[in-house]
Amino acid sequence: MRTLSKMRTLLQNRWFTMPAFCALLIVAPLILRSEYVIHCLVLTFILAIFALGYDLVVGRTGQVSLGHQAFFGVGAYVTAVLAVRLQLSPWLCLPACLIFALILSVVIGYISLRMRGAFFAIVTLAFAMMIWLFVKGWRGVTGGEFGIVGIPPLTISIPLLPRITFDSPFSFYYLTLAFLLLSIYCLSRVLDSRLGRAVAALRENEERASTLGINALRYYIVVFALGGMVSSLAGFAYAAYMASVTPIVLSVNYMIKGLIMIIVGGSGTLGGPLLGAFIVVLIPELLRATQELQLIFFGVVLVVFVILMPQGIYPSLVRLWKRKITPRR
Amino acid sequence: MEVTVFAQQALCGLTNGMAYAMFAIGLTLIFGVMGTLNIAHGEIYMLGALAFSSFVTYLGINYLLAALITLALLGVAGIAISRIAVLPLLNSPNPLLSVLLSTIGVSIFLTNIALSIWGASTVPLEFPLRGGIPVGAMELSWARIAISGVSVVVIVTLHLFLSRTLMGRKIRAVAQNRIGARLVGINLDREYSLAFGIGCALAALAGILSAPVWVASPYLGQSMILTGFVVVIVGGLGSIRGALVVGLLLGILQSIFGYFLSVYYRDAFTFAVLIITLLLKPGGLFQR
Repeated sequence: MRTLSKMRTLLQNRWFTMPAFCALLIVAPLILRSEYVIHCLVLTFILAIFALGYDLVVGRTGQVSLGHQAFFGVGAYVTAVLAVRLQLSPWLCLPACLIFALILSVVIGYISLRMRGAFFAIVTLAFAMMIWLFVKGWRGVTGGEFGIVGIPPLTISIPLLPRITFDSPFSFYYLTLAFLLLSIYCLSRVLDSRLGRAVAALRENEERASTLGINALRYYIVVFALGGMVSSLAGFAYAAYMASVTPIVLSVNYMIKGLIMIIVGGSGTLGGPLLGAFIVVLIPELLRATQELQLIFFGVVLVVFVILMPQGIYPSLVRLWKRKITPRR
Repeated sequence: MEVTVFAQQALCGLTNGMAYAMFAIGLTLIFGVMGTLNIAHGEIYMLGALAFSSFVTYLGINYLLAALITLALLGVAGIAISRIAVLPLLNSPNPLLSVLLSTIGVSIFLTNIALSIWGASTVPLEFPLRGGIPVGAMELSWARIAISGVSVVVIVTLHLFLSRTLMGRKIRAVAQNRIGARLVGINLDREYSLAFGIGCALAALAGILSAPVWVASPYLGQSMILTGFVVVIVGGLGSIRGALVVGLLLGILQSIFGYFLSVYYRDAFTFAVLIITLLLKPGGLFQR
């Protein structure tokens, strides 16, 4: 009984659970050992970063963007074009990606964030479709339908240490995990700041927040740009991991995946997109069904969640954890 | 020469525009009555074209009968979609966005059902009448004449239905004022479903009519829903007149743009029209 209550106090402590969770993720590949499982986890992390960025728009501003796949795709394409066509070092592509996504999201946000609801959804979709069309049409640079292949692997060479080349699922696991944890940390800091509170106030009641002097357009653009940059980071990781890109990264497939991850995982939370990414990647692997059957299943899942559990799994999971594992007396 | 080509493209575009208008009127009717957008509308259109083509080509059913069966099936499907995925969400905190998401789910579901039935291939369909009638130096095919003729009849009928019959007036009452409609004893859920069913039937009809001109395939829905949204928003959400006028205009403009500039960037042109209109006149051209 004593040990149990000690366990409880331990589990109640955020300073224990968070590092424990991270440590679990760090040792996971050493235990799993299967290259295929690690490959799936890398894809999970990449999609989770994408969904984190997407959810900044959907969950924090309360406006559903249907065009966020553009940032993921643009991140992947900027990486591919700079690394293959201009022969730049792949690491230099990372800041280039983020800057490009920043510019793009400010331009798109400046126009689309004046609108709300259906208008915002359709205008963001229109922008994403235009980008998709232009990238597919600009054959000389983007390779059209066939995309770009042969992106050189990322390498780190620190003096006195062996040179690290990121070319296996195993090495990429740690790289994408680092990206993911870094994004979650940065976003949790940003959302705890003045900016995060201002945006929360705007989502609750835009008129009231505006009368308090919060400029809706400006704050929404900042959040939109932040979301775009985080998602372009996922695009960068995707291009570097796959060593190739095709126009699929800009297609509505990624919007659909993103929305499912957000809604099923839980929108407006930082854990939700990660949980959603696990579900979107792992369930199809378990089902081992064809692409069509998977999507039929996810279509039904999306409808069911929107109707029965619009806040997603993550908040309920947190509530369950608090009630069962760490009840406060 | 230029003038003839121009006129021919415009005429061709006008018939495309008829299909756009019919599709968009369904979409805007649903918005007007329920205040929500139906993303699965494009999939209903696609299923209309595919089911009709398959009935005629593979099962050898007569054209008119096949069209009626398809319309009935998809009208009922529309009512079912509204009962399952739309009505339970109308009282949620943010109905527009919830319905947007749930109909995205429906649309993913329907696209992939169609893909698993028909595969990624197209279904051929031959129009019974060959040739067409000469208009000046060019020829307008019978299939295109059918699109225009049926569309005009359907749109006029819809107008009469909404303005003259009790059922139509109930639907308009709900669109104007929900609480008022409920106070005089109108069953809101029934009118919602009815409007949704009619909207879906219009989308299916647009699919049936354009099946002989544009070959039916499971990927048809996605491009149509985008065009439909552009028409509906540029025309002013909820405005049937706006959807009609903008649908026809967009058909003509797209066709001319496609011929003289680039077929590939025709969709980009459509989106540019949307974005520019929203910047200049945020409520659309025929704001309700």
